[in-house]
Amino acid sequence: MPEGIEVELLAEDWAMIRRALDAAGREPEDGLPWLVEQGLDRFLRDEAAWKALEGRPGPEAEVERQELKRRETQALLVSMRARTIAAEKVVHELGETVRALGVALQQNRRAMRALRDESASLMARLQGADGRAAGADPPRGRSAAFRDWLRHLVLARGGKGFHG
Amino acid sequence: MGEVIFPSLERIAVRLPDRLRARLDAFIAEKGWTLQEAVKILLAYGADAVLAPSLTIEQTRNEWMAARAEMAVLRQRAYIADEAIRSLRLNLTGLERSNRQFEVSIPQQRARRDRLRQALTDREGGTGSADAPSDRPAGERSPGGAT
Repeated sequence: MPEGIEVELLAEDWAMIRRALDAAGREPEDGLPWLVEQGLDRFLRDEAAWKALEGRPGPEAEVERQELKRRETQALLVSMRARTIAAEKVVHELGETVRALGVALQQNRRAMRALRDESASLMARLQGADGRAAGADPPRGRSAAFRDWLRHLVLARGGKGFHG
Repeated sequence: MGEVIFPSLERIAVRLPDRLRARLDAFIAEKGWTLQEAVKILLAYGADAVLAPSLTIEQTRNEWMAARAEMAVLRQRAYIADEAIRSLRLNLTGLERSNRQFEVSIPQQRARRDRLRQALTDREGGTGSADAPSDRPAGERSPGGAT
């Protein structure tokens, strides 16, 4: 079983190749390898013709050169059209994926922020509940500590104030 | 955004008998082309040989010039597309990594939130003052829910 490959062609270029196969009375199955070989022979002949034309001046040589250039450029175009369209399709598909992932990232960021805010709020409530449960004083600053020290001092003096 | 319509591409299978494959291998090694490129170009060469368009000198020149102009445009488009693919793949990698990190950290953060809710319910003696577990973000909760 001969090895095969798959190639992508623009539909209109494939139609042109089908026309050539029809003109030669061949089906794609056997016609395509035959056409590739015809193309290879033509390419090598054209390459030799191009070398033979080198340094040959005159309008006839110029006409021949233009025909060789026409064939070469039009053949290269068949490959280039498919390659360009395929690359642009990849750009489009990747762009869509990147857009969708960008939306998902925004949603994830929002969800994370909301969870963090909620956790922070719950934590604050929990600390407040702890304090109430233990009957603890409100947060003690330096003035509260001074008040405590003063109260102890008054009690130590038998409850008498400094002026009494 | 509107739907983008591309010219349709046809995927063609081409059998390559051993003898032809050997010729092609030597040919692409010399030209530095890929096998796919070579087959497409040679199919076009072959088709032109078979169809043998009879063109005047003027038509030959015009077709060549038109083909050259189209080739220049296609090369530019292909270059832009290749650059865009490179840049988009980088973006894609970064976005996938960030989203994967969130897939790990969001459930962890949610579990922490649930633990805090449970702890608050326990401390407040089941008075119902702590909100029932919910997956709704805090911003969506009704103001009365928080005491």
